[in-house]
Amino acid sequence: MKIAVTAENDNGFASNVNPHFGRSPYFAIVDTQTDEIDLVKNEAARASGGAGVSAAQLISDRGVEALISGSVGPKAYTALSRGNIEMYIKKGGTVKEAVEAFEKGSLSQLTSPNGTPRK
Amino acid sequence: MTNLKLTVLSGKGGTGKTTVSVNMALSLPNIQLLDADVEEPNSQYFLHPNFDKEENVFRKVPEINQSKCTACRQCVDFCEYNALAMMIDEVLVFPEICHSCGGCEKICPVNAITEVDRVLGVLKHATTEYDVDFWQGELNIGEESSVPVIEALKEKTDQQKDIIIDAQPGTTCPTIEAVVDSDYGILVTEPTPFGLSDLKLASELMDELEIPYGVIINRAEEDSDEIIEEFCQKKGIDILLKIPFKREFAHLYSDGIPFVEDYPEWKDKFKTVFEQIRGVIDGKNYSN
Repeated sequence: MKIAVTAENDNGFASNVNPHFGRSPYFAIVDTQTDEIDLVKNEAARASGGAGVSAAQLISDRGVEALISGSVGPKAYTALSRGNIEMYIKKGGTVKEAVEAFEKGSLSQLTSPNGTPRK
Repeated sequence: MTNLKLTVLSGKGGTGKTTVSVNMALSLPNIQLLDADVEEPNSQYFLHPNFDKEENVFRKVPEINQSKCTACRQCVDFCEYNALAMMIDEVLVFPEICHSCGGCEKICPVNAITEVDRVLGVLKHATTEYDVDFWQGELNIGEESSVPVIEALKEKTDQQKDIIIDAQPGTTCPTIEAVVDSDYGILVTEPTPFGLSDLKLASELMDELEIPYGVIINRAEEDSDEIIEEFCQKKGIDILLKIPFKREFAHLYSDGIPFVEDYPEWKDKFKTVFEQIRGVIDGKNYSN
């Protein structure tokens, strides 16, 4: 399955996990079967509004089924839920650590938005 | 004598727009005060209004007819504001961030989008214990575009009165909407580097809009006013008034009492400022 991890930088599995979803500079899209990773730049990171919706669209279009991030705002939460994308919380660490924790089943699942939209 | 429409604005927030708007309104006869700081209208805390009228402000947002929608995605790709998303063949609408441009309705090839009214905010009217006719705009929580509320608020303008508009801080669309058709702008600032920095922005805005303006220094202190005075002198901007940094004024503010009520001599100072502004406007009209 494909999972997305919010990434602070473009440094493969060693990239740091970004604490927020919508305005994350990059998304690490990882295929858990093949261990392939693709770092996608978030063009909406600096959008004046709707960054979370745009980010949800981006990872949905790439066939992502689960997201790992520090926080997800209310609009992004709605969009991701409607796209059947599960959300898991991971604060800090690297993309590699996040993926390993996900595969071990040790990340807690988000069941309501935990981020605040930025204006 | 024509009636004047003044807008009180500032680059920086918290400099004293409401203090100036309310105290000036109470110093003059036949005034209408419009609180256009619709994200946090706070003139009410000093005027203690009895609201007697409320009107909703609407704007248009898209509604998707899912049975007609073919998931072609043209509307999602068209929307510049990310107010639409396509999740598993379903178009989702995020009305809070929609800018009501109407583009998605026009671009939809199968007419699956109609525009519907959404309540964006409310206008409230009040008479006050003071002789001021008062309207305030309120933007609903979660909404992002205050401009339509300010537009609707300005339609309440009473042509028979002089108007004071209390604008939102900053130099973005809501402030511009408040001031754009005013005769004059009062820029409220404070004698600090932050006050100066944002005063410069506000002054550039007024130059761009070609609306005459002057400055009121709030929390003025003799040994710090120079920072603002120097700038105004260089640019040839009138300093209309200085409101001193005074413990008693701060006390009254925290009790929700406009300071002109306890210091009536300040009513004369505001009257003088108003007459000075009228002189500027009349002079301008004359020279035109």
